[in-house]
Amino acid sequence: MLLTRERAVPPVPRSAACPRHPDRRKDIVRAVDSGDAVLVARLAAGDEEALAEVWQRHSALVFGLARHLTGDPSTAEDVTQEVFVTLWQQPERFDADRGSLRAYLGVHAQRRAIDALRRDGRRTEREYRHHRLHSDPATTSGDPAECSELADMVRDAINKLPVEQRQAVELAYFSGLTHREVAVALGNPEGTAKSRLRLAQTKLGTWLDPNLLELV
Amino acid sequence: MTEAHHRENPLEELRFALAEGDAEAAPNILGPSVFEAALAARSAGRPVDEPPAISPVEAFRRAVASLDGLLASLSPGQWHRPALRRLDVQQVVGHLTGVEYDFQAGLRTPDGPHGNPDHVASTDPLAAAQLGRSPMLTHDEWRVATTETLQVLGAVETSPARLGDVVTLHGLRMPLGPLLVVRTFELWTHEEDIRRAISRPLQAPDAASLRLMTDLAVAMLPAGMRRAGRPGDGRRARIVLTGPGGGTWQTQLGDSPDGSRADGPADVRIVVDATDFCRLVANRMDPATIATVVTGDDALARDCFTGATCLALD
Repeated sequence: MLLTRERAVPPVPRSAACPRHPDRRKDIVRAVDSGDAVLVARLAAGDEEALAEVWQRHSALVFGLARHLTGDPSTAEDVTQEVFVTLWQQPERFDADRGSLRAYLGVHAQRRAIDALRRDGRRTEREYRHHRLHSDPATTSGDPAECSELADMVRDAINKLPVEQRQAVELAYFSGLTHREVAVALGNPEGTAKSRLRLAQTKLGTWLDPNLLELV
Repeated sequence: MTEAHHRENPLEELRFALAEGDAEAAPNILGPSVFEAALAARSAGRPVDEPPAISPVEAFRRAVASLDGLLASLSPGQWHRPALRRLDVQQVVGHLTGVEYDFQAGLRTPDGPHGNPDHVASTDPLAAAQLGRSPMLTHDEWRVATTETLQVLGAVETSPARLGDVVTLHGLRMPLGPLLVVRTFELWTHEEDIRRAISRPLQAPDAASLRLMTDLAVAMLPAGMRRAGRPGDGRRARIVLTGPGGGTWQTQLGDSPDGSRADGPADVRIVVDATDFCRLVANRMDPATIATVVTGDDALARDCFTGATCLALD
């Protein structure tokens, strides 16, 4: 079953029972799971409001990535549009069991940005590095033991961060919050939340594999 | 989001979590442009992999073929398993043969007498008559009856305008097209009754048939709500049915008290699996057990589920 139930709402009063089955209880269970799998199932069902929600949540990340990688706002706009239109056209390519929608969109933004650079004839060291990272079997083997080990490493590294950075990273990584949501959760301005994430990125890149954390 | 979601590639998840620090608001003009391009590629409401449209006759034909295949696979003992109310599998098939005869009568004489409006009472004699009969005879009788129905419907397929002819069946008076979808619902629902009885996995209809069923179920939802004594009073629901046969509908639930038509956002959004929604509409699933996501007016969502169940398209 795709969707999950989390809580029950009160039963409908007996007076509202179905006239054909007056003795049948009419408890309605309402789920409040609005996670990635549901969001993408809605996209697949043609719910354009779901696209608006994905845009609201992730467009800043996708555009920010594209802008960093291409260095050109106009190209970044093209990349962003391509990523979201492709998601709308082929939502079934996202597999919630394999990772988050944010990472899925992030990977696609990176690929489209590199494609754009290639089209422009601007092959850069950045591009070669991207290809090296994403063709390295060690980063994508999917071996459960290796992934578990990596997860432990990540958790240990996050635990070493100063408390304010750790809180921001925990909310973004474990809870899947966007930078805006992290800011709201911590009661900080957006700029502060982003700055803490960037500082944490530098430290984690030092402690973990800097290549693996490098975005640009 | 939980750590379990990071199993496959924790470092990649971390990379993009940290990339939130470099997020940058896209220009305001980009959002509308993205939406325009997306909806040009696939319009709102349309599911991906939309199944090819089929006629209601074809949907009915497929439902007959599917049930026929199941019946052909039953062992002698399975015909006597309790299936529905007090009926065993064999009697359910007898009931369906009775429905077929009543339907044929309705097709022959749309304005004639239509028998007992209670579909159970109308077919009870034929269901009871199966007691002590060979299951093979029961199956054969139903197969002959459905073959005759399909022969009549073959003529309808060559002149699709006839799908608009009003036909009455068990007190239900509606155009033949939607009535055939109701009959598709009925055959599939009883096929699942039999599958439950013999512990076989349930099986959703093919996506093209299911799409006709979901379209009809959503269209009839306001009628179900009126029947349940919970009219929608013109409020609006966004029904998102996921999976094969699904789609997205924004629908007004009945008439508003002042006769106006509401515009704007829906009062409630309900997300549910398309097949489960059909089981609900067939009165084979309790709203308490259905997995759904509701946003907006909880009470209206309850009314929608109550109305769907009261359609009882079985």
